[in-house]
Amino acid sequence: MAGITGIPEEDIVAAARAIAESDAVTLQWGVAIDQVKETIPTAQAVLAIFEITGNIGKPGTMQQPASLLNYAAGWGSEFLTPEQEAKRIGQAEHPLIKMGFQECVTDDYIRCLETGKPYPIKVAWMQTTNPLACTGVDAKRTLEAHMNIETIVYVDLFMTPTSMALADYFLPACTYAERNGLRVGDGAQRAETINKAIEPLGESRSDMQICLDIGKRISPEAWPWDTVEDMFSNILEETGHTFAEMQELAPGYPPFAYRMHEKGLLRADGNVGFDTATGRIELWCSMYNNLGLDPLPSYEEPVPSPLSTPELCEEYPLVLTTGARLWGMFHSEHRQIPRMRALHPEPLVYVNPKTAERFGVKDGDWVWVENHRGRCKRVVKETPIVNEHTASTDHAWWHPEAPGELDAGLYDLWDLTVENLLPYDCGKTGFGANYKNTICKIYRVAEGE
Amino acid sequence: MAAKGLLVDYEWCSGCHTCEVACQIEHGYPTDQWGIKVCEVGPWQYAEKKWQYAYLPVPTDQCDLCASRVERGHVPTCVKHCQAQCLQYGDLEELSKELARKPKQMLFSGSQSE
Repeated sequence: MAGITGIPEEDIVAAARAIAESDAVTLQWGVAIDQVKETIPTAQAVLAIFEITGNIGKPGTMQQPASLLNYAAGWGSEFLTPEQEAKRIGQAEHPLIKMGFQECVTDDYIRCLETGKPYPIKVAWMQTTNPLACTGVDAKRTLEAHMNIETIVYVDLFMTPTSMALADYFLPACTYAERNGLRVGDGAQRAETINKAIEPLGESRSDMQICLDIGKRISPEAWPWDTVEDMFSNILEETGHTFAEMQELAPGYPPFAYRMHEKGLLRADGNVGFDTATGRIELWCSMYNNLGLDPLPSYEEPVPSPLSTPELCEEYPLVLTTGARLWGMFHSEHRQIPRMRALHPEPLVYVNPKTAERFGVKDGDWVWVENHRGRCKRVVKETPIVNEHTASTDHAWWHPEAPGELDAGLYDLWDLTVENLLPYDCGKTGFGANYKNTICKIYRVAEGE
Repeated sequence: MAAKGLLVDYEWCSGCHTCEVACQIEHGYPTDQWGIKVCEVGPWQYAEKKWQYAYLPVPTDQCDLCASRVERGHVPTCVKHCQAQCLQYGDLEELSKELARKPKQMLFSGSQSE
């Protein structure tokens, strides 16, 4: 393990002992585990540590999060006929999708756009998404694939590289000050309300109003509400409160209990135990086994990496990690807000001072961060918090102040998007991809580049 | 009227800059002027397994302890918005007693002489 992780063996042992011997251990985890290719077995293995050591359901340990709106697997498929259900893209390739996740694996979607098989996509509805800068990879391939769609409707607050490249129709959304809304949240959910303070400016409407307005025209049975507030009240139904009532009461925390598995609070049938096929914690997962997936977690070295592609690492010796969070900006948002931009004016690559010396660059230099697939521009920030084998860089950058037309560079997208370095290559389950890790080298941007 | 100030428990300052932005917006300062500024001290290693790495919010000449907010019964906007709740406003004499309670605190006595 020390050879794989680069962490000294005694530190790994000490960490394991600390977890095993503690009275209560919990994990604060973020998106890094989602953003590796084999995210499913990785998450399974991480959770197994807590399951094996009994750190489930007790105070200070891992909890089953409360849920008001189970949106992780999507919803709406109850309105599909069996014929429509059978046409969902990617079910044969990815059985987890077939069994009830109401999503399409991105790789399957991109291949469908490129080949027109099983059928061409005629219309796309893109809302609060910016795949060329942020949520996709291989921006050039993503752009070309989407050019095959006849009609693209785009909903956002601002023009973005993706909307400038692709939108046939742009519907302006309003900000949170201009609308009512709910925030139910990730992880442990609770009812929070967003309370409109001013009327929407110009022709903008809230994202929710836009969806309700078009939903009622396309699928009225799926959108039975007259107002967005009625829709919110429907989401809040299990709390016993309407939206208007929750505006007074919020935040509305659902009831919480420790040791829910001992009290029959986890299973639909009310029995004690866990919400699994066997009622037990399944270190060996029967659901995965039934779908032809490995029931046990396993380790898979990312590709590329010093261990999996040593020949590539002769030229690109650093491990690059992408997308550590910024205080004033969220993903590709807020680049155009003056006070947020002042906190972090340009995209950075954080390197150890020894790494900077090794590559002949220094703090404040513009450099290319490059691998075998492509490159992007970054400003060097020297810091000892990154080790000598790693570079850490921001993701989702573009310059709203630069020219935005497709033939003028899409707001400096091609120079700045770290997607240039990353390919479409999802995990066996269809979930996961190495968005967060690749290899690279750095060198100074030349005059005029 | 008793002299007022800000008590900063900088052990808990996470360097999020929320105080800076709240102050700039309250006072209409441009993005390159601050009534309170977060300073980074470190990181450097000074002993085996010991690192200096702290953030310290420092009120400036342009801090007026949010006089107009206080007049209306509110706390200064940096105090209200601090996400780590590491800022306190009050009488300097009361706040100075807090200093002995724990290390890594600093007391700001305002930027204007009486």
